[in-house]
Amino acid sequence: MNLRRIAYTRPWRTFIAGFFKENAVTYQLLGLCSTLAVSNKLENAIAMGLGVVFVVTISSLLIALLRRLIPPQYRMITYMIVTSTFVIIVDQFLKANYPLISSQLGPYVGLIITNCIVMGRQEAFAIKNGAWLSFLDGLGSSSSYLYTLVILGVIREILGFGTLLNFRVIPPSFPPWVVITMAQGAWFLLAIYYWVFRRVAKLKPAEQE
Amino acid sequence: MNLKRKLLDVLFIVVLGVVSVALLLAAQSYSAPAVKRFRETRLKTNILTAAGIPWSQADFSEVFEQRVREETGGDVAWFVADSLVIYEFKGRGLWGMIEGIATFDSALTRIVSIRVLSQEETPGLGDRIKEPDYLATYKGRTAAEPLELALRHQASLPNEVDAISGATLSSQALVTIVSDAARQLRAAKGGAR
Repeated sequence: MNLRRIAYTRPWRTFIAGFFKENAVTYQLLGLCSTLAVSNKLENAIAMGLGVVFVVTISSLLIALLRRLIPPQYRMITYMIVTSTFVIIVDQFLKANYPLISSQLGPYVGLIITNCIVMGRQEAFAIKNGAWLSFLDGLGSSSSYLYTLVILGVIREILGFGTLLNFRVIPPSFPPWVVITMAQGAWFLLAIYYWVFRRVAKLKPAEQE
Repeated sequence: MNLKRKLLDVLFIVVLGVVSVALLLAAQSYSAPAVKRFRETRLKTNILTAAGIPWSQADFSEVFEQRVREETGGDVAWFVADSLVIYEFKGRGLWGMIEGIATFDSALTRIVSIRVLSQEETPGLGDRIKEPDYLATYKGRTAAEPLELALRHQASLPNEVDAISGATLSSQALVTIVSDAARQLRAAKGGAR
């Protein structure tokens, strides 16, 4: 099968829809709270983004595998149990291996449980589709969150701290933009990012439901 | 049939819960030793910094052994380094536990420094209690009597500490915790003599 054909297959379309056009942060406007809070430094953004990718992908896969067993009226409870289990595992992993990042992320790792991307993908997709497609859907949506955080993290760390991954990239004579390290500054940046992203993705107002 | 369906539903949730608990216990036992090691490192390096003793990532353990000694009185333990008394405190904040170390002069009359090592206060408001700029307001305050939060005015008396706007409860929690730490330490040291 040549590459051009792959672009028209259902798995690829499922993945790329979440990854690009239906970007979790810019199109679905989900997970904004943690986006503003933890994208102040690149390492925080990467750690948080990978945590969300792990949780969303694995829990979507598991929900899809269990979808015929899950009692319909208890499906929300099931989502919560599955999600919180994986979130706590991510939290423990960070605490054990990256304690400094873990303390900088503070409560936000635990709050992945309430990140709407997780339950959004489970309820909107995984409960109705097969394991492979749900896995790709979760991976696509959560990766869009990851790269959005990384883009914001790069800009905010360079402008706000003058560093990138804690290495100085801008001479100390450049005054750091303190406001951009705070959530308020992130709003401005996020608005600009929306504008650019929606231009690139050619989203028309009519498509914004 | 309906009853059977319901029982199966309950069974599903129970099985899911058991599997989840098993996974969490496994994660806990995996991370516990590393977390303990990190907490020890954090405590030692912060005590050294609080006492003004230079250390590096490679030698802090030996430096700690040489320069810091632990003393106990009753069931209270504290550290002594270069005539400073350092106490590891822990107490209830607004949302979760606030942990840190308090440094006093040898006679326990005034506070030399306060360092907050972990806290779960509101991000952006209460979590400012961990910032060195705020904690500097404790410097030189009395340790001989309970501290009070200066509300609606700048702290000026030796037993007053500034409050953080929008985070009165977190500020108050830290003031109470530090006051309690000083009181416990005074009682324990008095008993040790």
